[in-house]
Amino acid sequence: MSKTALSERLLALLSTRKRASEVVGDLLEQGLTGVAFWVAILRVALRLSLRWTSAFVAAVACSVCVIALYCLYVVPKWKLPHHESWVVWSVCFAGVSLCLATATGLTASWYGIHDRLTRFTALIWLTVTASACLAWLPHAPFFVASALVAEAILLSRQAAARRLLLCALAPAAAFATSAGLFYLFSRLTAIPSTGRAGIADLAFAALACFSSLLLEFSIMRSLRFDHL
Amino acid sequence: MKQGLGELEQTILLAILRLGTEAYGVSVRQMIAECTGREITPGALYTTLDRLERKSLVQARDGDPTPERGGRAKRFYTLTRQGKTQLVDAQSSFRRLMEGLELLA
Repeated sequence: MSKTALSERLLALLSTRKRASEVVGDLLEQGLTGVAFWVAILRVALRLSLRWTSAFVAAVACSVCVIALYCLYVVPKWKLPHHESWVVWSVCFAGVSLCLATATGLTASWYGIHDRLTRFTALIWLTVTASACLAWLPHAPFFVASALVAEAILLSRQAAARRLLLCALAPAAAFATSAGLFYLFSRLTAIPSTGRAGIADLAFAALACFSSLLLEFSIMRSLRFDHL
Repeated sequence: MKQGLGELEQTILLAILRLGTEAYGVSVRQMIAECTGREITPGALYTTLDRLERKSLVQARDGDPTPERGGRAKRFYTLTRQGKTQLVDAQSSFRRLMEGLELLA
């Protein structure tokens, strides 16, 4: 494989094929060869990958916020007398909140905090997070479920809102599915099989997280159109 | 809240505007270097162009493939109406801030 084809493939992984072809074409036109060519390619690749890295960091940071909030605020309430009825709801909401957190982090980093999709995803995320945290209140799950159903019905009446809803929920659902499959795989095959929280477990968790985020990210980018 | 344009974004938009139909990666970099004396890195240029495209401030079209580019097409950029409006807004803000200061005299 020639150096231009190789560099084009490398850049296409971090951007689009058109962008990769443009960058390589521009560098060739400027007469860059040998080390200078590769240095320029690596600098462009680094800049492009910084955006990806920051998007993944933002997604993980949002997830950590959910886990920390849940552990600090909700877990101590598991001792309350009406334990059985609300804990299941609360855990379900927390799981959904975790998936929406990654979607919010990715959209905020990729499209900016002023973007409509970011604000919309963040709004749903905050609603579900609040639901997870307040599920311990008596009858709270019924009120929350009613409010969410009413919200979904209202939103589905407008085409633009339907599209936003799809763009917010589909990537989060993809993340949930992928993470769930990784979890099932690890349960069924006992891979990694260290038995303790060792390097293999951490590596597997990182692989599951990264792959799921990558899938979520690609679905988010393919669904969102420019004039949303 | 109104979204502002960054300095590099404004510089690149102005360079594209000056180049007219001949604005592509290499010519934009050259124009910026000639007018400002500043060499922007290819990485900064393409990530900013990426962002401007995503914000629908510029649109790209492919030219014909050329041999000096290894058979790859040039990617020409033009400002969209939204891009022109945002650029004029940003420049007007600067002009208002400069008024009465007589720094350019």
